[in-house]
Amino acid sequence: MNGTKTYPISHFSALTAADLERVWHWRNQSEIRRNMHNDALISWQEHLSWFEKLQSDESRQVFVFKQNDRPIGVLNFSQHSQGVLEWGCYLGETDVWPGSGLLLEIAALDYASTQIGLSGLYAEVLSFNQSVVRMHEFFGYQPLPDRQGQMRNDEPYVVNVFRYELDEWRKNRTRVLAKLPKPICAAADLIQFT
Amino acid sequence: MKLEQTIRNTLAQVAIIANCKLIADITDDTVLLQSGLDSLGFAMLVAQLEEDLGIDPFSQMQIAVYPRTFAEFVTIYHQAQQGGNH
Repeated sequence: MNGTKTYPISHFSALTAADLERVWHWRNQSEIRRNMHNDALISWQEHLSWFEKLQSDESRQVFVFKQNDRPIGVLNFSQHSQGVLEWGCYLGETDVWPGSGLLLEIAALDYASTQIGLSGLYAEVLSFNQSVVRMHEFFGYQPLPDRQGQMRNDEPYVVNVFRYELDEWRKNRTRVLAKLPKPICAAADLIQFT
Repeated sequence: MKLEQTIRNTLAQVAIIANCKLIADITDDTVLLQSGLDSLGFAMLVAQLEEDLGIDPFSQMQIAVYPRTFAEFVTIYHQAQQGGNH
């Protein structure tokens, strides 16, 4: 151990065919599926069809989150409405740098705020997924009226809806990051998109 | 054992501050991401342990594989205290 501090590089690259099998396994993990609108197992054929459609759909972008070159998760965006992107994410691996979920949150806001013509970021969270609800609130997402949910494991839930005005993120990024532990701020400077 | 207890105590304190509900029994095999502590909580835990122990193995050590379980997390801190590398 030495006195120099280093932080992981977070590299987000567009999903390719080479990532498909890994992402399919991630997406079908019970811990991932339970927080999705659709919690059914996805067949390999369905996964391939999804990827094929993605190739010709300019309204959607799917990135693989690589931590020091190691794929650990997914960050995806889709056009929600004029000037507004909807986003979602998950960590597919469990042996990750502490705070990696925060880096996904920061990456989503950073990416959207650098895209031309966008004014907002939109997110939906199933109400039982409280860790993500808390994270959105911490970052300053504005809650919108809940949407009706369904039943999951015999329990009713609603869909919590959030929006972030990207001008607010541009203005408040430094202040929000300053509330986080210092290693997160340092690692946030190492977020890259290609 | 003392180090593990320090980590357990800090984990419990951070969970309260971060408004996270930890699972009832955190064992050696508990997967950290399934312990009930969220991402912010883990970042706070590492920051608090740096204050308490004077070490942050996640920024001061070259860690090839990050810990998945509670036992692996404790081991990283043991190694850091001994000044080693992973």
